[in-house]
Amino acid sequence: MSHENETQTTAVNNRPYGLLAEYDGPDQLIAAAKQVSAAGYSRWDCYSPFPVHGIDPAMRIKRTKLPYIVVVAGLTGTTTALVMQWWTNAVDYPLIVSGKPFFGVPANIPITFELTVLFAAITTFVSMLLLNGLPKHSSPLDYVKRFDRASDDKFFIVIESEDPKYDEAQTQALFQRTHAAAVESVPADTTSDQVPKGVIYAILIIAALALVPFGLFASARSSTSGDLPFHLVHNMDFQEKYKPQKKSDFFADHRTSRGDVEGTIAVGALRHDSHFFAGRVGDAWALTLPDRVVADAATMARGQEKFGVYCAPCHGATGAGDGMVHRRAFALKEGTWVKPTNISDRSVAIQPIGQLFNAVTHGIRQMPAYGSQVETADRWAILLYVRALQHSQKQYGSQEAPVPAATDTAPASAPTDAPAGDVPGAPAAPVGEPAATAAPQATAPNPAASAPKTEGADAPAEKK
Amino acid sequence: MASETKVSADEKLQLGGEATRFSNIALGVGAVSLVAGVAIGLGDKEGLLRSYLTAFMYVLSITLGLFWFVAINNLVNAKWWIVVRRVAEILASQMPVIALLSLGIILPIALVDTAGEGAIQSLYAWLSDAQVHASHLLHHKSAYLNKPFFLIRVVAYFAFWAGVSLWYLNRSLAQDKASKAESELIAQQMGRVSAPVMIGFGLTLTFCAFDLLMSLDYTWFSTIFGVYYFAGSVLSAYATMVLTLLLLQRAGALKSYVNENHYHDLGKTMFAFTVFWAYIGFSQFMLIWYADIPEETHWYQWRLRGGWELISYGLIVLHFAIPFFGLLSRNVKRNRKWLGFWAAWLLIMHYVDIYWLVFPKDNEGTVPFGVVDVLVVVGLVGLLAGVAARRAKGMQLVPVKDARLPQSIAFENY
Repeated sequence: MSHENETQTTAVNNRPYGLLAEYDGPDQLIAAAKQVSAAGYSRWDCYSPFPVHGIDPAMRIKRTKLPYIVVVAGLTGTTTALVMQWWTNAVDYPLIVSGKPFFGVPANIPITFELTVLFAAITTFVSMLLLNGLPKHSSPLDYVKRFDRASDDKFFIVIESEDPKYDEAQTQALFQRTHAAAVESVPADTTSDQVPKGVIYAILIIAALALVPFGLFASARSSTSGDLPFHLVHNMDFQEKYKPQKKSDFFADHRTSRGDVEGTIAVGALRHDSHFFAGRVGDAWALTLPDRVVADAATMARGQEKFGVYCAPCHGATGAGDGMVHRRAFALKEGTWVKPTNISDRSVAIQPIGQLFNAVTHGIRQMPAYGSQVETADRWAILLYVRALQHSQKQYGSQEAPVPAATDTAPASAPTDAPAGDVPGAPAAPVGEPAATAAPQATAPNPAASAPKTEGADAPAEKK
Repeated sequence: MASETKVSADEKLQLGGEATRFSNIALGVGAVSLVAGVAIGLGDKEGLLRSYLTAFMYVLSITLGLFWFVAINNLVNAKWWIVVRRVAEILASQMPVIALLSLGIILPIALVDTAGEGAIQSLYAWLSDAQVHASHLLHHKSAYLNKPFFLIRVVAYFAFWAGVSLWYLNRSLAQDKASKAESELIAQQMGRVSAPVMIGFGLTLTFCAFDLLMSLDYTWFSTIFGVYYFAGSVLSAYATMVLTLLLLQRAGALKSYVNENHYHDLGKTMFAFTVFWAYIGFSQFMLIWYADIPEETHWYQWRLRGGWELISYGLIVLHFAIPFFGLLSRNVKRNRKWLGFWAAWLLIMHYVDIYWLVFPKDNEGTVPFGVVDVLVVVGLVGLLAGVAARRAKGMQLVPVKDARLPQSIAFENY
């Protein structure tokens, strides 16, 4: 940057930036602004240390268009928020949460409100700057010493030489008429508008350095490392405590997990009643409800309720295997999905109630275990209800096969309630015709005979 | 800047015969309306009480909003509002009249026999001893919700509001006769007192809303309920200010004092409180909707079924969405006709809002709105307007001695 160059350009282009007039107070400024705008100038501006009320009409400035820009931005925010939430929640990635609607308007209002305000606020700020021609990095006025007081206690009007009506002498005369405290010509800014080379180099170096992290990411992603990951936030991940499978130096056998002390049992953990807890009577599956489960209307209602909660989602309300989960999985063409068993199928219906209890408790095939989720007494109640369902399907459904074991629905105390005579030939049918799942014990006895018997007359049951 | 020229010297600052004429008409219409409403509604005492409670909470909320308007502007030493200050003070100091009208609510409660059958059928079921005995929840709440404490509280609220609003007016009137120095001292005093008054106002309004409206269903609770009532109060107070000033200017008063800059400011706050009302209303709704706890949701379920849903959704559209866009424009807020239109609109919607708070309890499935409701509210508004005009007669409608008056007259709004 040679100094001679600069002086040369000044000599060539000695047209000033404009003419500056100084005033002592806001009232003088407004009066002067009225005269300048009346004279028909267009490229001029007022400068004051604080906002001056009434300067807008004095300068004949039209009202800003900002509100219209802001209202459009606000409505854009509203629309963006609603469409975004609707698209992500209801279209692109619908997620069932407790049966709630995918697109619940009240839940989306806070985001909508926030985005409306955000869009409007940012737009207001950015548009205000742009409409005002900001940011402005430099101005020829910066080089006028007098003008420093524009941010202190003086008021200024500057008419630019670019103005079509600008004429050095006439404009000066106008300022004199407005009783300006001082009038001064503002020289044009003749400094180079080239960006200094150092700045360009600095930007290039920073841009190059900014690529380095991405390079590191890329190399890390395409290679493997034996190092443990950085564990920046510990979140109580490492604690002075034993976990079941960890080694313990305290005990002789080095096991952290300790069994019961010999000869003791935890409170409430006694499973003495194998009929009630395991569905076993002696060596065989129980054929009746345990004594402590009373087959009355209350138990039936309880069973119906729990069936509705735990069984119906897959097996369906009537147990036909057409529950909501099945229908959904079927519609999605889930390859590994197997249709839930129709609980009124002969293969199920002929099983002793104890065996069904075992299936419910520990699960069978795809069906998970419900022992940990459903109270023991409730599982029996469910089975009572299942028997009722089987019975109803046999009578009114399209069951082709008899369901002899359904006699178990009769409570032990009222054995004669068994639906004897429903299908007279029933006892014979299951014999020698093994059920799909539990072949060995498929010998369901004569309905009339089986009900009163609580202790197993059956063949040994399959091991759990 | 060049402000004094704005006010004409022969400005009319006092109401004369026209105030008497207006007062006579308003009192006449009010009294006839109220008597007719009571006569027609007497067959269904509980329904009549409900209508009266609705109308009463409506006029109370407007007056409370004006009370707040006076207190907040005194507190922040606002300059712009001096030209409208006296009008607001006169309207806010209607509190003793409101207190008198509250007897329509308080007397039936005071006279009810809490041991008898009537208590459980009254508007406030918690009055009944039998109910307290039967409901574990109410038993726990009865330390607060019981007749003597309720009466003490309500009397305390009205004593506070009436005392403070009359004090404001008296000090303000004293300014008119005071010297310059005294006048400034009074203005300072009013500002200082406003700080504790604001705290008292927040507490009394909140608990009044709890006592008179929320306890209609003693099982339901919402901590934001007082704020909701406050939002409607302030909104309707600004609307009332706009309409009153328009009426006064039509009668030839304050013509050169109050200009579109002052209307613009009233309109801006009206607009802001339209949004604030919706914001608070939705805040209350969303938390209850999201938590989905039966002891809270039933309050909304009553309002989303059997015809009430039309009012609920109607409030969103007519109390918020339409006035929001209606008041958005600067030009509307500076245009007296438009601003008056929206002020009247919001005042009507505020009545619907209060009706929606009071009536759904025990009216599930039907919206029993009828002529009695209209007559009673017209009655109360008429009586209050009549008394206000009569009291205003002879008073200076602008505090001419207040040092901030020139600034208020010169006020410019952008």
